[in-house]
Amino acid sequence: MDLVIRSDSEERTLALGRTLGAALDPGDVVCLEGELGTGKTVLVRGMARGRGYDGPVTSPTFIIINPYPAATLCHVDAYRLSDGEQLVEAGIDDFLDGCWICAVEWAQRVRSALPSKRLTVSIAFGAGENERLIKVRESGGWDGRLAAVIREMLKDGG
Amino acid sequence: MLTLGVETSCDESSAALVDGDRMLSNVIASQVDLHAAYGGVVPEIAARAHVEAIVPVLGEALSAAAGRPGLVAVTVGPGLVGSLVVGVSVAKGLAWSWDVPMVAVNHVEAHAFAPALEGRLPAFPFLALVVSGGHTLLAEVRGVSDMEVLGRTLDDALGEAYDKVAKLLGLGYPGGPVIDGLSADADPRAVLFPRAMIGSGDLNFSLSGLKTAVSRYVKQAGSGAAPVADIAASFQAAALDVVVRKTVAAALERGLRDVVLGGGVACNRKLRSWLAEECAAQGLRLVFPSPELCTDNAAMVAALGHRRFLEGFRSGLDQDVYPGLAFGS
Repeated sequence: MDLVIRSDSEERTLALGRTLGAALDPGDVVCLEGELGTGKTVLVRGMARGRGYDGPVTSPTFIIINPYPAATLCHVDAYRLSDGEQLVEAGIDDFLDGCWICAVEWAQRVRSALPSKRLTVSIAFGAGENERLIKVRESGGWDGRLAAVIREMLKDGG
Repeated sequence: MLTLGVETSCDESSAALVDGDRMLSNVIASQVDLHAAYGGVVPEIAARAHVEAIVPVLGEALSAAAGRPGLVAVTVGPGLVGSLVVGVSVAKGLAWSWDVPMVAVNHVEAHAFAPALEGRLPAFPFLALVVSGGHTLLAEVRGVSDMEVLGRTLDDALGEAYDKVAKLLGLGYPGGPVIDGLSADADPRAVLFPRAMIGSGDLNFSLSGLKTAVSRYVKQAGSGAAPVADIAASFQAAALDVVVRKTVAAALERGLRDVVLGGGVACNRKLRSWLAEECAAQGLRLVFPSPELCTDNAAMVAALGHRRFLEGFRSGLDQDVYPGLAFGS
């Protein structure tokens, strides 16, 4: 399955993230792609909200791996990495043990360190100032579970 | 008391020897050149470079005094786990072999104490603004182990915003010095970028939207865009406007007369001059350390570590590292 959801505001992107976060289970890996400033961290903040965490969700660019135990969510940022080996070196395997949901920004840089079963969410700038086109793509066998997730997200999106 | 400070949280492998607050040495091996090729910090390289640098750095720092240190102070967080481990392992080894106490330090807190090394630490309580590549926060510092975060970034750190905008504009790494330098003779009013959260009513910051605004401007303006120096200056004006205003507001709100500026971005000339101006206008005293004491360094770790030791803090040889260590915890 591969589809595009339109978001017309940061709030909408946050809401989509909330729906996505609530629908995921520990062990799931979400790869986030998109240029600087498209709202990848906003989507992850929404995912944390959807898992009952209301505290700050900040950019993990500096720290690379930032776990939120209250949300069983691990926020990863590969912006400064150049290959999967470096993400392993940074300690990602501790969070790929099936007990965490991993949301990985700039995942295209570190694919070799991530499992093949993953959800890829690509965010692109749209025509309008706050418009974003959010493309969702699954790989590696989600057993139809994704269809339900996307149905929920479509209710929130345009 | 002769204190050895060790700091390896991120880019810098550093060791320092400090007697009380008198700095005898502060040796820093920076990996900035190494990382510039990658546009930032690469953890595996960071950890390996720390391993290679730490022993010579220690040797040079220790040669500043004949005597053996009576205390080892080490950064245990926040930072990159692989890098932190190098410094903490070395510190444990030295403390054990010398049979002296070791004390753990949060290096972001240590930034607020860096002016002590130049005899300029204000009396408690004071306001600290710590701005770096990974951190942006305002805190009331009431004591060595009594600090309260008043505001922080809700998304990107100030130094991170500089780095990412420098990348968007095709400038080099690290972004702070490049943008600050280019802005000196440029027009900060060329593009009106948003001042996020300026009217939010709290002391938090948001810098992610500014990065998006710069990206959008560059795309939309195309060949009609302002000169890159003017875009850089306009970004800097928008980012610092909020930081300066909220810092002054925090001091006035809390009735704090002294403000300490620390962290790598405290080297920024525009931030220093602008904040100094606004503080002076409100009757506030601003202190910032010399540039080599603004970036991560072991001397400030020793300065805070010694103070923590006097308050009774000790670390065992089972001391762990804390990549996400919170300020004031």
